[in-house]
Parts: sequence; C-alpha cells; structure tokens
Amino acid sequence: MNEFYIPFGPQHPALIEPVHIKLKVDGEKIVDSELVLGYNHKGIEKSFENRWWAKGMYLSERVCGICGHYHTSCFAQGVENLLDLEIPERAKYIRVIIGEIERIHSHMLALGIVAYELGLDTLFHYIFRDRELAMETQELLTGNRVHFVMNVIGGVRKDIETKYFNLVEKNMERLDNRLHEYLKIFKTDTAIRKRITHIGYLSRRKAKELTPVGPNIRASGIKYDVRESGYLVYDNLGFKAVTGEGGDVLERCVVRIKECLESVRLIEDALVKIPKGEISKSVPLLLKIPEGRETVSRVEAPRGELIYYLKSAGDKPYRVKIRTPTYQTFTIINEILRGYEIPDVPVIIASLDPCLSCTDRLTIVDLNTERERVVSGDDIRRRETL
Amino acid sequence: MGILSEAIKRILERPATRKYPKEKPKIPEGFRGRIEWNPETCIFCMLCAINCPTNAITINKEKKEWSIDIGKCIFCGRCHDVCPTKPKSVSNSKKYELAEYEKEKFRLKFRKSERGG
Ligand code: SF4
Ligand code: SF4
Repeated sequence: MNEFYIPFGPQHPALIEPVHIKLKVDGEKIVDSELVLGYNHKGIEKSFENRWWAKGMYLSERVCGICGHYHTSCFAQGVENLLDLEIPERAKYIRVIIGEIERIHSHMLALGIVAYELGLDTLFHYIFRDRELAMETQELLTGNRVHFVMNVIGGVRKDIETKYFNLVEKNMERLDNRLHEYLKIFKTDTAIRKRITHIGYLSRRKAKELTPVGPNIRASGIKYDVRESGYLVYDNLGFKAVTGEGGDVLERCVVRIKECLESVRLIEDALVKIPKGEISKSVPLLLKIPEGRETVSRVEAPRGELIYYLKSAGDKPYRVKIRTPTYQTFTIINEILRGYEIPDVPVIIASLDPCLSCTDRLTIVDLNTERERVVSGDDIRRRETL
Repeated sequence: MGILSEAIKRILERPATRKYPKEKPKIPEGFRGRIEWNPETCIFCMLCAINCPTNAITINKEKKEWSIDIGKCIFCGRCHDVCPTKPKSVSNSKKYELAEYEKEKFRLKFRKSERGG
C-alpha cells in the first residue's frame, strides 16, 4: 500500500483561506490529516496590551471583517462586566439587531462559498446578490457596509432611526422569501443533494467528544447556542436554537439557512419591541479599571461561541485572550475529512465556514506547543520534500 | 432542477450590479468617510489626537496646525465623538474615493490663519 502526503493550501486554487492541511492519502482516499495554522498571524492579542480600553474596541473590530460587530460586542460586554455597568435597554436591542443582520450576511456568504466549491457558480451569484439585501440593511442602519463601530463601552455609538424601520422590514421580508427559496433548492436539487449528503459526516457522539461550536455542532444534533442563555435581550425575543440531525455538509448548510430565518424573525420582533430611551451610559474617556480584575465574556458569533478573557492592568488590559469559534471548530477537521476523497476536501472545509482571519491570530500559543511537539527535524524535512 | 428554474425566472431581470465609476452609489446617512477639520471652531484641545486609536492626528499648538494621515486613519469616527466643541470641529465627510499614487499625499496639513479662517 502506498501512502503519501498531499499538501493542501496555504495557497490552493480550490480553497481561498490561508490554511495548510497535510493530507495523508491512500490513492484518492484520505487516511489522516493534519492542520497547520499560522499563515495569517497578526499579533492582535499583544497589541491590545498597549492600548487604552476604549481604543481596544477599535482593534477588536479588526479581528474579523465579517463578524466585527460580535467582536466589539464581546469585548464591550467584558469591559462592562469589569465595570459592573448595565447598558441601557435600547442599546441592547440595537446590539442584537445589528448582530443578527451580520449573522445573516455571514451565513449567506458561507452558503455562497459552499455553492462555489460545488462548482455551482450560478447559485453562488444568486446567493451573493441576495446577501446584498442584508448588506444594504446594515448600511442603512449604521452608515457603513463593514466595521460599523456601533458599539462603545457603555452602549452603542449611534442610534438606529425609526424612519428606516419600514425599509428594514421590507428587506427582511424579501430575505425571508429568498431564504425559503434557497432552503428548497438545497433540499431538493438533485445535483446538490447527491454531491453533499453523507459527506463530511460528524456523528452526535463525536460532536460531543470534540465539541466544535456554532452551526457545526448544532447540525449534529446538539443544542449548543450561547443565545439560549438569554444574554442581551435574546430571552425577551423568545430565541429558539436551530438544530439538525444529519451531521453532514448538507445539514450544516440547511442549519445555516434556518438560522438566517430565525435571525430574520428576531430582527422583525426586535424592531417592534425596541424601547425608547438613551443609547449609552457615559464612561470616562480614559477608563480606569482596578488592576487584576478579570472576566470572561461570551457571545454567539455567526460561527459559534466567541470568548474574550480580559484582565485589567489599570487603564489598559493586562491580557486579552480571544477564543474564536473557528479555532474550536478545527478540532473536528480530522474526523470529517478521514475516509472521504480528495475532491471532497474543499467543500467539506467550506461547510465549516472557517474564518482564518480571526483564528490565526490565536496561533501564538499553538506555535509554541507545536515547536515542542510536532515540528521535529524529520517533520521539517518531510515538509520540504512535499 | 431547483437552480435551473430560478435561473429561468431571473433571466429577464435587470442586472444586480452597478456600473461603478460611471454610476455612483448612494451614500447612506451616517457614512464615515474622510475626516474633515474646521479651523473656525477648533480650540486645539488635543483630545482628538490623544484619543485617536491609530494616532493619525497630529497637532501643533504653537503654529496652529492640524494634520492627519489618511493612510493611518481607520475612519472610526472617535475623533468626532470626543471633540468638545459645538458644532464639532472634526467630522466624517462623505468622501470615499481616496486612492493616491503616493503615500505622501495622504498626509494632509491644515493651518488656522491668524485672522480667523
Ligand atoms: S476617524 Fe478614527 S482613526 Fe481616523 S483620525 Fe479620527 S479617531 Fe483617528
Ligand atoms: S478635539 Fe476638536 S477642538 Fe479639540 S483639537 Fe481636536 S478638532 Fe480641535
């Protein structure tokens, strides 16, 4: 039997993300895989340590271009915890509304990429055209397409205007129609179904063992969603987590579409229930937090549970540790690749909706352990001869 | 079959894309474009320079000079938020076509003339 390694990425025509996966193959079949991160390291966690708290907000938004609002929400929530500050009710609603719109466009992006990896460029373009509805809604409410800077410590920076609510509702209605259409396409189109059912399967038992987060674990039948805890105003809005049983690539797509539908419902509900009032509590420009105080803050980002650990050193953080969802989800990569064939790899990876831009910021720890553990001389030589 | 029927339905629709350089997008309210400074109202309190997350703003109090490096600016609008004057002396304009061939052109310097303005 002839087994050999195939490098997949960091620059690969079929995968745009800068990730390197070493695939051990037997013929076309994948026997084993190993993930190598670190091509996109930005040193953000270290940079936090020499910035004032308020300035850190803007840095945290730059961790990820797609879910920047969740990063600032999580960071702000952490700092507010440290200060024992309760933000105004209206600010909570605004955070939820903007966040949910962001979730819709993020999930639609993931669906588009899956379609693209399947070779269905037409579907990819349709999904991206309709994603524009979510993007336009964001632009309408916040003024920008990305990096909204909606959060500040103590609330939100900018109010959302009632005169736009009608337009937002109209957009949401249209999105709702379109999403139902895509749900039908994904569930009934023969080409799609044949290609992605029973591919990249993650069983419920394995999911429990390896604990990915976000839609990836919920597609394996485990109801794990931070929003269930009812932070911000999710309990007022009657949030219900979406789960699926299939555990394969198709199920992950279906769960994402259903989550978008739930988000649409949440936004429509929030627009009705949003109370009037102030949007932020005033905090001093140069914020001082007693040294040594620490906290953990969690939110449910589009890709799953996002965790910020903050420890204070007075006017700056002593340590900021970010656990991004993709990092946790990568635990299952070996499990869902093993046994499938090389052409399946791009679509399986795309179905995880990996976001390397936020994950690779974390590899500083990873590289350290790897230096001790994996990268032996033998390994380096093998990598050179690949 | 699903995608095909969708494609047939859409075939007579207008294109979803915009012919950008010829056809400008509509700029939404609250858009954060290039920072503009108003020498009339500025009191040179330095707050914008101190609070800018990327240190894009530099101020020379003696010469009454206010400069910004657009290359560093991340258009976050914090300078606007902290400015104490009324109306705000520094604010985001709606300008967004900011590309330049030379980095130097990003460094903009403004000066308050002696006789006001
Ligand atoms: S917009 Fe932000 S980055 Fe730009 S000058 Fe103002 S504070 Fe600095
Ligand atoms: S914060 Fe406003 S008043 Fe103060 S220096 Fe900046 S522009 Fe001038």
